[in-house]
Amino acid sequence: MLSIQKITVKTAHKEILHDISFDFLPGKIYAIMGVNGSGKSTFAKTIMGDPAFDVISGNITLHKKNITKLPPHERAHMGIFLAPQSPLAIPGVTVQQLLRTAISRDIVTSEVLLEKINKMACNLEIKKELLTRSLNEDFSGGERKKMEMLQAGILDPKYIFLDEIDTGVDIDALIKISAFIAQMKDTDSQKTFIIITHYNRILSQLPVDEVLVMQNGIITEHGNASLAEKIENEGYQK
Amino acid sequence: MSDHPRQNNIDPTFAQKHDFSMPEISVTKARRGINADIVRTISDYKNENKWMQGFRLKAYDIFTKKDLPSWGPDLSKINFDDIVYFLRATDKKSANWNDLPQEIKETYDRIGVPEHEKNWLAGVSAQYESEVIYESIHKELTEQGVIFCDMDSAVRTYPDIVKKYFGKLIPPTDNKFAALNSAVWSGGSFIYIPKNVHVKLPLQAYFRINAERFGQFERTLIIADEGSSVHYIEGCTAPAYSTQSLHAAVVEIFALKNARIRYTTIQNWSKNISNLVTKRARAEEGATMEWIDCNLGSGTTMKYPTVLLTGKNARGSVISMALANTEQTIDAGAKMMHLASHTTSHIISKSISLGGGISTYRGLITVAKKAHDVKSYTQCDAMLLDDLSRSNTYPTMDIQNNSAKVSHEASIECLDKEKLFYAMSRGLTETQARSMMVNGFIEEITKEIPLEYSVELYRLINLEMERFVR
Repeated sequence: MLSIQKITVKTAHKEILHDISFDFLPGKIYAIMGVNGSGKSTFAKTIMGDPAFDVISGNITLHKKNITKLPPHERAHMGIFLAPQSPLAIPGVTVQQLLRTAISRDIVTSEVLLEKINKMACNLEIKKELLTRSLNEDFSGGERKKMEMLQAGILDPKYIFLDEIDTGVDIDALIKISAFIAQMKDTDSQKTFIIITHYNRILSQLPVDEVLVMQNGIITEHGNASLAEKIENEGYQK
Repeated sequence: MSDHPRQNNIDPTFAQKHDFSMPEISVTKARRGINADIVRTISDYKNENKWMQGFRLKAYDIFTKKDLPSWGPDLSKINFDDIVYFLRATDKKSANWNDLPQEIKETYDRIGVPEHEKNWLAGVSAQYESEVIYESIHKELTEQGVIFCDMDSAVRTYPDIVKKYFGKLIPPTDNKFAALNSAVWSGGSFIYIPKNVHVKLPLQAYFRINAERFGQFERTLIIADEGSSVHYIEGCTAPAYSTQSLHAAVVEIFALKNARIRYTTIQNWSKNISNLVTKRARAEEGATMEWIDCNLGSGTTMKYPTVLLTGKNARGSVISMALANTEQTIDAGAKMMHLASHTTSHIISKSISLGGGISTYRGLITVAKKAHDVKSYTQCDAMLLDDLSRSNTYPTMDIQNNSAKVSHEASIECLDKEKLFYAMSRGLTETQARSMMVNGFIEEITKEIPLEYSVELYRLINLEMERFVR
């Protein structure tokens, strides 16, 4: 279980999340919705350990271990993954190199890793040439998002935060991404997905268990999949 | 972020790979300091002809009259009186590693030179302190007339070629360190490639300073005759001492009509060494001269590889990278002198500064009045890893002909915290993330150097990143 316990989070300038608590259970699919600036991305980045955000009170625990102060790479090793809203370009570094550095050679040989990458790229319909180009440099929105999914697939995490994975993505790519999530879930039913989105579009493709609504740095609503539909129809203001 | 636990992903033996010292050995050693007598003594040690001795003494006179450069890094800590200018470690120059004194053989074994030689080089020369102690070249090349030997032997064996080219591109009057080198030079490579001969595998020279408070002054002369080609690689290392040493080389290169020369340097001197090097090439009609220059070591480096494009359609390029860490000043750059029409030049410079290091790019592009349709492109990128470090860019252009197309692009980026977080969120330690991004930044350079060395460079950079994250 990934447990968020009364965390208050600020940047250098202001407090963004106020006393938030929530438990993410293994094997579930969550959606987090909310208007821009409601704190959704900050919430995900804080759980990943972004040093831009300070947890001034409260704790984050994973499998009962307190990870509030751990650096991002240790959280990654423990099974947390975040696909950011706008994946940054890393000039001169390919996705293969990034993943090769991320995963020890003791765990997987380069040949096996390369084979896995190629297979997943094929699965996601990622153009082969993108694998040997600088990561995300001059990639389209859809290409970036698919590349994030590929990395999630290879790194095989347990708690997967997808921040607006559906933004800037055409319908074909969206279907591919949703199918890829479903497939990851089929392979390992204990995987937990936390999908941050503005739209019902991706949620209708996936069996969402719970929907959270954030507003002004707190969780204001919590319900089942029908909550997403309600928001789609009525908006966030009740 | 600095309190993150560090993961040591560097082979522990690698850290010591270059930074080890052997007991100093010598069969002949000049007194500390410099004067005309010392210059004469060095010449006598080498049994030189009158011409060379005269050249040296004249150069010494110029050295005493020249001031240190008034621009660029502070050189005041160099004490010319506290340096040994000549040290012969052994009088057994050999073409067999096993014939060398144990200390020397072990040094090169540890650095890995004999292994490289076996696997992918056409010839190797190794200089230890003042003189070349090992040299060998593939027999086929000798049969084709290729000459690859130490400069001292060349003066004796090929006096006519040497006289024709020696000191012609870089006269002793050029600068104080060129004058000093001209006075006390010792060792270095002499290469002559006959017409239309293509040397397919690289020739490599390896320079090692082992002694303390010492000066190495090698002198290299490369002549590629018409239509020939060669790739020369030099590597330089030394153990770290707290005392100051000096490396002041002079390198003169002649690419004759339609010849092609690539000169690759991997400089990893220890931080107690001032590296003040003058390198210049002349590219005649249709010739190509490429400098690939990687500077990681030394306390202070001043080096501006130059190409004089003297014949039409000649091409010159300088592709360089510099990494300046704590207490390092790397002042490097390139000069392209377009003296003929339809000449082109291309400069890529990438610098990384961290831990308070200073890296500076100085460039000079000149286009002579009579040179039509010249093209020159400079790209100059700097990366700063923290706010203690500095990067400077001083491009200078002197364009006398309106038909020239000269462009200069510069960029500076700070290693982005968001990018670091992105890479770390994939499971990379902070050090791994930095190394990966720095290596990505210089990928354009590393892809130009042989794989064996780019792997080495990659490790060296990782090591610098390890030092940095404390």
